[in-house]
Amino acid sequence: MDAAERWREVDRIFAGALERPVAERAAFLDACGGDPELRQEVERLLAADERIGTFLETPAGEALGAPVPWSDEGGRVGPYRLLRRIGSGGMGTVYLARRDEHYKRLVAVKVLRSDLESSEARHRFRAERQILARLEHPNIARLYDGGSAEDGRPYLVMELVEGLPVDRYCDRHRLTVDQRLDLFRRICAAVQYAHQHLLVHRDLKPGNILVTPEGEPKLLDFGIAQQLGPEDAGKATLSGLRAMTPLYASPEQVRGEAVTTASDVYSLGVLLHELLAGRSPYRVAGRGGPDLEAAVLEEEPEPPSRILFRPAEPSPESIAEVRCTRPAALARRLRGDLDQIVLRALRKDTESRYTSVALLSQDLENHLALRPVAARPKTVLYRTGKLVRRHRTAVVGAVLAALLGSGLLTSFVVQGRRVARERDKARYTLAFLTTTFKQADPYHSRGERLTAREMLDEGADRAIRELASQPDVQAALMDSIGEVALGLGRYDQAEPLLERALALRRKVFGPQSLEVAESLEHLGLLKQERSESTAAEALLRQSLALRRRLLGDGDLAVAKTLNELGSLLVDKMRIAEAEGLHQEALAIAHQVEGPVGPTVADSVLYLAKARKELGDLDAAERLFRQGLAIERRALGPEDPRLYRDQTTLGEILNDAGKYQAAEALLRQSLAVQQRILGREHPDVVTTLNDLGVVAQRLGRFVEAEVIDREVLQIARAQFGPTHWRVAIILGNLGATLVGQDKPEKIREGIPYYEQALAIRRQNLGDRDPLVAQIYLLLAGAHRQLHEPAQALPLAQKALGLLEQTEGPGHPHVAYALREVGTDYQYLGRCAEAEPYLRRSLDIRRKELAADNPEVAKAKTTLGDCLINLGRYAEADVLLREADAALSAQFPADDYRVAITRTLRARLERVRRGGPAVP
Amino acid sequence: MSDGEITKLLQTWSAGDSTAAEQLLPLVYDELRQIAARQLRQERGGHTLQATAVVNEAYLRLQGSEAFQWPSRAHFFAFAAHLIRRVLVDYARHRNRAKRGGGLERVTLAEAEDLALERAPDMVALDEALTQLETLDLRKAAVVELRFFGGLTTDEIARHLSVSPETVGREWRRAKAWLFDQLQPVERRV
Repeated sequence: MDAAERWREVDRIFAGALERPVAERAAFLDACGGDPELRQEVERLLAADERIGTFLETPAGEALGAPVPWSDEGGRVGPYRLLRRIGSGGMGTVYLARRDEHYKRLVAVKVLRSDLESSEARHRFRAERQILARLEHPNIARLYDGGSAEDGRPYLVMELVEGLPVDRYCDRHRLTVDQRLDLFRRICAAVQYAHQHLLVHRDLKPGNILVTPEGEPKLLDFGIAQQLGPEDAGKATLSGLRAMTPLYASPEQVRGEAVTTASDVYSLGVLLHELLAGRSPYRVAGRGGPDLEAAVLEEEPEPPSRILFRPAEPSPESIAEVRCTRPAALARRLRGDLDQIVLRALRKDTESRYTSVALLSQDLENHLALRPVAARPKTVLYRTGKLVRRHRTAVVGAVLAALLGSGLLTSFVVQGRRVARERDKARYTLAFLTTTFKQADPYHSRGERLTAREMLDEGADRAIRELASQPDVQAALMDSIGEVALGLGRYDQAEPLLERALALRRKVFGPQSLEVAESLEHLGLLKQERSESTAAEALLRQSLALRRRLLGDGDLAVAKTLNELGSLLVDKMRIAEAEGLHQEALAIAHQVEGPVGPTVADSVLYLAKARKELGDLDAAERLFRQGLAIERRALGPEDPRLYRDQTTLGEILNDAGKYQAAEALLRQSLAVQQRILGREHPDVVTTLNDLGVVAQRLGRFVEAEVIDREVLQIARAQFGPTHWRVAIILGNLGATLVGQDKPEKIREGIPYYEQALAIRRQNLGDRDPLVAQIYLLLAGAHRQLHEPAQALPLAQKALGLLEQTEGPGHPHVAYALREVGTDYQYLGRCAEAEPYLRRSLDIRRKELAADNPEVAKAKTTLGDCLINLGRYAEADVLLREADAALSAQFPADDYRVAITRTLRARLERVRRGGPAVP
Repeated sequence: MSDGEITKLLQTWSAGDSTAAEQLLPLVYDELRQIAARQLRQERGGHTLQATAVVNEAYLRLQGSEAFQWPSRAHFFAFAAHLIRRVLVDYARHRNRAKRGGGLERVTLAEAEDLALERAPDMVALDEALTQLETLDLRKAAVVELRFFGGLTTDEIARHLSVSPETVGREWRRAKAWLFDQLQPVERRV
């Protein structure tokens, strides 16, 4: 037998043995026979397989980088004598040490890697050490001291902890599931305490969580990873330097992105999974390396109750045994609440995880106390849906005035994608800051909820008071709080904070830095929100130029800034220019993310929005659907962002007059949003509001009123009563009431318009395009009350503002023109009305498809005027065209069809010489 | 060497003749070494060499060169993994020499048993063992080379070798055990 043949024989038996449980292997080898040498070789391989650990799991290039550990045993750093090496990890080597001869107490001294030499790293190191020294918690190993050794290597002196890693402790003491949960919650409390002190652990794993013989958990290495800064910490986890598997690293850590408290929530989720089920959440965990990284990024973790029975070592029996139970009983115990809690902590997307460790712990307590847990999907009582179904009777207002009820409202609620994202970020930051300050402040330690304003004031004060010696951190915090204020619509508060952060960053980092670029961007977005678009454009362009210079033209941050700038230009109706920017962003995103990625989707969706503003609704719809398809693939089908954008598509369909399609899409969005976000989320507000608008456009006013009132209630609670978004909803409710065309309803609606107008003018001034629109709505209401003399000046005011802000060819101008024309007509001044109505129709014809209902409406109105002027032949052509277009799309009892038919009947009568009114 | 010859060598090598790679190596070796050296400079602290980054960059550089008509991207990666192995082993040799010269103690597996599991293996010894494995079991050696040196995922390896990912996983496990056993100091291999 030659060597290769012999190896094949060994390998065959080795493979057979591996497939059998450890206990049965000896018998299997006996059965295989063969010579003793061959058997010995197989046994050696089996032994190697058992002891193999992570051998070769870290790819060579990375593993090779591992520095050869130096040994300082017997040496000293600062005043500490190093007695014995007790371990080594990614950050350096830990020694048992004693301070000089005068002290008895033994400590652990960690000598850090020698490559923290740059002044920036040292600066960060000092700042972090100050915070670390403040951590005084019985379950966190204390940091006593720190300094630099003679050769410059930084070191830390810490409490010496003797104990077992938490997973081994639990198994050795055969803790039950309840006991494990109890211990885990005490670990959570320690992590939460650190988060309140603005410290993220970043490397939570059993080896860093020891349990003393007294049963006290102790967290080690708190925040040490952070001292290396975001770039290094991410890499350190992946590199051979630590030579660990990224088993506990969150997806954002694997990607090397910024690490937040949410990353600790994730790591705790992995730990909880293992403490409960005895296995890692990923099938490939044992392999490590690229497979595990891919799994962390993409694979949905398995629920603990199911993974228990995966055919792997240790067996389900032995896992259950160290939990004092049987496999089936353990699986039952885990199924339901505990599965859901673990999976929620393990979500890939930071936004869908528990927003704090405290909430994770709270949910476990809920579970232990048999209360419902937040992680389980709620069965949402589809109340709105039911109400809507109850009121599906159509309301037909067959009066011309009803036509004018609600032409512009959808555009009220089309919020920029960017705004929504900023708002999410703001909510997240706010949640973090809230938990940070709530318990830190004795006034609020009894669980009262801080108002957003108190929160912001306090956060800003704290930043100024406590961080004066660390201007970089101070600036970062001011910038974050400024962003929160921006997201919440508190512009007066946001502006000084963002300005100050910018000034500080210019001083600390220099005017040509990424930090300054970020501050410029945030200030630019603020100016955009305030409709100061010239200033906004200048700031965004500066930010863009800086990022281009510092990051190169192909960076995703450049793409993002391009999209923001493009979105601003779209607001200013500089569409062609904006499309160029979005195209460039798309090209960068393609280059970096390939055909499918979040930035690719974003860029396409921005392009769609640009098309929409141009009035090219077909192209907008096509691009939007394309963008949504990419987004679905990039984010997965359960991501809330997907449904927010789907809602925007609903709005586009709405604008295109495709109400049924819009309604179907919006209802689908609403169902998913209510399920995954709860009933009061701002996204739900937007979708519900749009459904209200659809109902209104379809003439279902009662249903619309029910929805609008509900939306108003949620929005007031969410944003505060004077937020500019509340004004939008007040306007919609007003329009719905006025649209019902009963005098008492109209009079009920007018004050809502007036409130909306006051809020908008106060927040944004007359430049705000919506101010003009509310003037139009008010004019319409007075018209319906047969008060054309009051309506006319309001409509003219609106027309003047719109021509100024939107330009002469804008659809909103067309609308205002028709309003002014109608008022003149009501006042009996038909000759003065005609030029307004004609200009209105011209704009509609240019902007919209020939069979669009808005074109038909413009024709109907002009036709009415021409009858009054005695120009019957011209009127007849227009009314026939309008009738044909409307009848093709709506049933005969639709109010628009009815109005057009009524006018045609009247035309027939007057042509035959009869009276104008029967 | 003409372009046609290079392409032919590549095909021969793909078909399993490893001597073809030896002839190809000088053509791209300098290129790879330069890339690796730059990667090392960019790494903060100069510690790690990202194999996948090197391969990716090498691919971008070499795919454009007319001399190399790669039958497929997978072929390139297999070839690159082999080259990376050469670069890294040379680098390790060089580093070990430098360390000995600098008076630093070289730590081997035997000296720190506890740390063996988390330490990089002795690259030179691993290379020798892997060369031996190639004579016994070419597929296992290929799996190790692609995965450990090339940084490819199980799925990618499976596609390249036209076997199932499960097979790759099993081969990997057994190959690792064999190598691990080979790398034990002789006195413990009883």
